[in-house]
Amino acid sequence: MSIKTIERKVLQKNDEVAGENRSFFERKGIFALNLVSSPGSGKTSLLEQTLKNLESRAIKPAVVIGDVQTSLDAERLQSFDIPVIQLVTNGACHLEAMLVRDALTDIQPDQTELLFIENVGNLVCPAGFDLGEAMKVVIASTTEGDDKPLKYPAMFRNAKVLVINKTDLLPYVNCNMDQLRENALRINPSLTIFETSCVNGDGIDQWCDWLARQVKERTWQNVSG
Amino acid sequence: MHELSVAQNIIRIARGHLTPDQEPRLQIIRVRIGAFSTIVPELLQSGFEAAKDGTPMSTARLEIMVVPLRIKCNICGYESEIEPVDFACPLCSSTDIEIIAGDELTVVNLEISEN
Repeated sequence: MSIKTIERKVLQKNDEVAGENRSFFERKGIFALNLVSSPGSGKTSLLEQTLKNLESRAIKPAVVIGDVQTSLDAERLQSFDIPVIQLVTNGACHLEAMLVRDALTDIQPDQTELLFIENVGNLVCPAGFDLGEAMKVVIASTTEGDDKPLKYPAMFRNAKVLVINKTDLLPYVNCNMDQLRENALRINPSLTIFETSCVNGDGIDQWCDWLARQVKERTWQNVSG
Repeated sequence: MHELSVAQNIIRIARGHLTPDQEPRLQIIRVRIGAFSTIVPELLQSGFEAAKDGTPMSTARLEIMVVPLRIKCNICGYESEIEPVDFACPLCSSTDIEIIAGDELTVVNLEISEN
């Protein structure tokens, strides 16, 4: 018997490409977000409301959407005059950095300031795969209850922002908002939290104010740097 | 079920370190998996069985070592093992901590039988 020592990270190739994507975003001054959540939490609805809100703010967004099988989500965003790229993972439960890299030439990088990468709806697998984003945004809806952060700690720990969506349904669902916040902050005390409703528009302004501020800060860094 | 994709990566890494005549003699691939890596060892095992099918490494086994989640407190310096729901220092209760082990996913070594 002979033993060959390797000590290599299993996802090293993904991490290397993610690093290349990150440098690309920094060079082009693109603020890239990786949107993760369970299926049905309202990622695409939040994107629709966000893109609508951003239209009046002179920010140039683009969207890359991962889906296991269909292009239904991308079709929903076709009415916006921005690049929307659909990535079909053919059954895979998460996006990988290579797949995102292949889409980057199509997003008109020189015109884009803010990139939303909508991951496959899944609170487990996407946590392990860096795509090169500036940060992960986890979306949890009130219909999922208040214990999601405790059940999927890796996702909430790895995210910088939590958007609690479907707040309009709070009177009808078994979800204690204070408890949900407490659980999320227990896993990740530095989370920035927003509360939104895509039905009545509550909280969308605050979320978009924050996005606009992040984009501006990066633009200034690029100009002064 | 990203374990299949992880298993395919493990096999790709192993093959990258083996000559074609070593591949059929590969006995064990040892991997280290953090308790906080979102990998379920049983699923990785079945993913591995599926992923090695059709490769010359049909006799290879996957040996998984699970590493507990360990943190270091940035305030008092205490190092401890925690459950992945209590991200705070058990000594001083500070939440200013960093993960020092338990989130890795590493191919450690390969065991190859002689000719």
